[in-house]
Formats: sequence, structure tokens, C-alpha cells
Amino acid sequence: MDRAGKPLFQSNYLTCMKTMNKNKEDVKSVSHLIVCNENRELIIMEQSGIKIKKSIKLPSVGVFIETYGLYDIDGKIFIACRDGKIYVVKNGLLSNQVYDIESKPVGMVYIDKSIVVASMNNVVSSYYGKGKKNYSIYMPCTITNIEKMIMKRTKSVNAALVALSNGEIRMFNNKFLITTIKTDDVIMGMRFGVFGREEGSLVINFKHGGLSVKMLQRQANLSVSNHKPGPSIKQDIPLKIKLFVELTQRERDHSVDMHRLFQKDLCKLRLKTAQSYISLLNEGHAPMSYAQGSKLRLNATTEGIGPIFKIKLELQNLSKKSMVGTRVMLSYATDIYKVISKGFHKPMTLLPQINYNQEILVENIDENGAADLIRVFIYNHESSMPLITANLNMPLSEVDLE
Amino acid sequence: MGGSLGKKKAKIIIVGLDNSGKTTLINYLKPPKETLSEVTPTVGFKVESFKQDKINFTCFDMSGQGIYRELWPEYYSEAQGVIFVVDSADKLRIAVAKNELEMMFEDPGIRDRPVPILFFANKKDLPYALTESEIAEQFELDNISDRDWHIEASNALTGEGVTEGINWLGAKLPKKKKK
Repeated sequence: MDRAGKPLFQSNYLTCMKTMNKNKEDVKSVSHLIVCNENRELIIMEQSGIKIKKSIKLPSVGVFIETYGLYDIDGKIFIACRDGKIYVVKNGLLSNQVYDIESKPVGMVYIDKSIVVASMNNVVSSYYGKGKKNYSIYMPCTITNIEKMIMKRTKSVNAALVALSNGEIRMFNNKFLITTIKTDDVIMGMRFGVFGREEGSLVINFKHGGLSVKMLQRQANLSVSNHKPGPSIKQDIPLKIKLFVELTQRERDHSVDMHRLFQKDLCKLRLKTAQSYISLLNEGHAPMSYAQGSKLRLNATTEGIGPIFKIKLELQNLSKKSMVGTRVMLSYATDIYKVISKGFHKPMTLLPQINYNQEILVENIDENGAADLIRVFIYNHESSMPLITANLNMPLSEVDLE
Repeated sequence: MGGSLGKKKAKIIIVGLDNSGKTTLINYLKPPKETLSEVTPTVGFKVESFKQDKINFTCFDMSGQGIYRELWPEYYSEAQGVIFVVDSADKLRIAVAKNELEMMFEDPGIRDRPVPILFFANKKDLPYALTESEIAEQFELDNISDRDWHIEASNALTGEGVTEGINWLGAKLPKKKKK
């Protein structure tokens, strides 16, 4: 690509930019501008900024750049790309070292000789310089931003700030969560550094246009040692009594047997449950029935306060065939209840998927209004076993005083 | 200092964030021949003395830079009065100053001794400078009940408000036995 005599012109879009110092660590010393574009190129500019020093073809489009060291002295350029991989450019050449982040990157920072990448699968992972994974931290929701928090002058801090879509900013020193800052809005961008005269400032840009500046307290403790993971409350550990020791020993010696026994009992329990359930269905005691290969549903409710109650039955044939000659029968204590309605035990034909409603009036004839159980059976002439049963717990009846 | 016999002496400490104008303020109070033509950021601290309202003040001019703020508590227990200088034009760092103030009140050297505190709302000449009442509100000074406090808007360059403030402090200092 010969651009001599032509103005510098890039027809495609830039995706990210970064600077890298040429040969001095100093903030104000000469640096190179490094950019990525949609044409899968990484372009390193001359320090003057008007000429291309080097253009490197990448396997994918770079979206984040991080630099480490000085360009002239073995500096490394890390490029997180849209294909979910991080490529490394060293000495102006694409090295064969590749980090696979298993998702798409949403941010990348270089902290303390490791690359920390936030990805779209809500994970923050850290990789050593050699490409080995150091750790992964799982977040409860989408990560919107990641920023490094590095202070040198007043105190030594090397932390990563991770902004989440629920408005939280989590501060990690290594893999340890140090603190969480809660905000009311989604964070679109944040930058940590010197703001005015204050060194430890964090400027946050919110989704709805707000801008917030947070400053680190001088005596804030950010060291890991004081923030051990896990519950901070001291837990009561009982004394090691003899019984406890014996029990532990027994558990250790017979662990396999104990486990086997437990599994066997568990199997038995499951089998028993399944058997009971099947028999319940077959004997028509459950609200759903499969007795005699039929599929029925019965819903029985009572209405009224007494002495006359209305029993409402809702019957549905869930199978595909119609059922002929089904009848309703009530079983009750004759000294307490008397059935008023007539003709409800006529044989019925139940067509599939249609609701059949029936109302039966029952009178409580007990002088004290005693309550009892009324059982509703649905049966047909093929078997003495009911197709389905419903147990109605009748309420206490109002006594007819007249 | 033979002339100081029979006069009151007071040891005070002057604190505040960096660039709030502590050294400039002291510079104004010093005798004319000792004044500096240019004030540079203080490193560590400086001991200065000046005479005001028949009191000889010995003053610890502490550096306000972040790394030196840890020195402040070392001198709290000796001080008979505290001057807290605030840059009233630096609205953003009012919060930082408030935090430092809270830390000072929690320090045993100040907490357990009801020494008077004088606030200077310095740089009042700058545009957009907060007034002393606004700063008092931000600092929640009304909640201070265990000691005397006073806030004075000042301009340390011209000396506006400085003398008034120091006179207040002088009047509040504990009555010392005459030597």
C-alpha cells in the first residue's frame, strides 16, 4: 500500500484507539497512537501522528486495545477481537499466542502483569502474560464496563472496577471483592485517575445522561487481607467431644456403605411413592383417574350454610372416546344427611372434552347440625371399582330453628 | 522573645486540603519582613509564629497533600486551637474536605478535648466561590455541639477576614497562666 503523496485516508471505520509510549514511561513522553479498524487491521502510527509506522493484519476485528511496556523495548499490544479471542502483537509482529475468552469481550484492562477481560457471558477472567488463565469471577448480571484502578503516588492500589447493568460497581483486588458501590442508573462509561488535584477520582457517566465524580477516601482500606471471601461473622464451632470424634471416624470408615444404604433406601422410597400414586389413580381415589383405561376428572364442591347444601359436580372426560352408562352415586351417613334431588343417578354419556355440571341438593337432618364426609363415586356397569372418587368434607350446618 | 513576657501564648494547628491557602494565610499574618513573596506547596509541615491581638501564636502549618495528611493527628493533642482552611471555590473537593474534617473529629486528640475550631472559607474573591453559610451547611457544622466553632469568609492574599477570624480564635483560647 503506497500512500506517498496522498493524504492519509482510511475508508473504513475505526473501532478502538490506544497510545503506547515510545521509549519512556513518563506520562508526557513521546507515544505512538494505535488504532484498530473494521478492515481487521491494527495500525501503529508514527509519533508525529500523521504517518503509518506499521499495519498488521489481524484474524478478526479488534474492539479493545491494551498496551504494556514501551514500544521500543519489547512492548506488548493486546487486542481483544470480535471473535472472542485476544491476540498479542510483540515487536511489531502478531505472535502466535492467543487467549480464548469463550465469549465476546465487553472490556479489557491490563493490571499487574495480567489481562483482565470482561465478557458477554457475565464473566470477568484474568489471564497471565503467558496465556494461562488465572481466575474467573461470575457476575449476577451483564457487565457494562471495566476499568483499572491504579494509584501509585499516595498509596499502592491495583484493582479492577466492574460496572454491572444493575447499577453496581464492584471493586476487585485480584479475585477478591473489596467493595460494591451502588448507583441508581446503568453506567455507560467510567474512568479512574487524577481529576483536578485529587488523585483517586472515578468519573462515571450514566445512561440517562448523568455524570458523577467519586473520590477515594484517604484512609480507605483496599487491601485483600482485610477482605477475606466468605462470611465475616465468626461461626460457632462446637467442641470436639468424644461422641463427635467417634461419629466422624465411623463416617470416614464406612462412607461407602453408608452412601449405598442411603441410595437403596432412597430408591425404595421413590418406588413406594410411584406405586402408591399409580394405585391411587387406578382405584379412582384421586381427582384424576385412569381406572379401566378411562381418563376422568371430577371436581366436587359444596355451597350453602345449611341445613340444605348444594353439591356441585364438574365432570370431564379427558380421553378421546365417549363413555357410556356412567352414573353418580353418593355415600353418606343416613342419620345426618338426606338427599333431596332426584334423578341424578341416571346413566350419562360423557362426550370427550365437555364439562358436565350437576347439582345435588342435600339436607342436613341432624338436630345439632353435625358435619360428616360425603363421598361421590362415579362408576359404570363394567366394574365394581369406581371410576373416580371425590371426598367432600361437609361444613357444620346451621340448625333450622323453626 | 523577651517582649512576650506577660503575654498570652498559644499553640495552634492549621489544616485543610492542599491548595486551600493555609501557608498564604499564615504568610499574611507574619511580620512584614518575614513574609514570602511566593508561596510554594508545603512539604511535611512548617512551624511559624506571629503576634496578633496581644497573643503570641505558634502555628503548625501542616501540608495538605494527600500523603502528608497522615501527619495531622500527630499534632492534634498539642494544639489549643484548630484552623481549618477550605477552598470555597473547589466545590468538587468539599466532600473530601468534609471527610477529612470527620476524621479529625474522630481522632482522640480532638474528640476528647473541646478546643475551638475556626474555619476559613478561603478564596472568597474567586467567582463561583461558595459562601460561608453554604460551606457550613455542607459540612453540617450545626451538629457540632461539644466545642466553639466559627466560620469566616476570607481572602488570604489581601487579608480580608483573616484578622477577624484570628481575633475570634484568640478570644476563645483557654486562659493560660501568665509566665
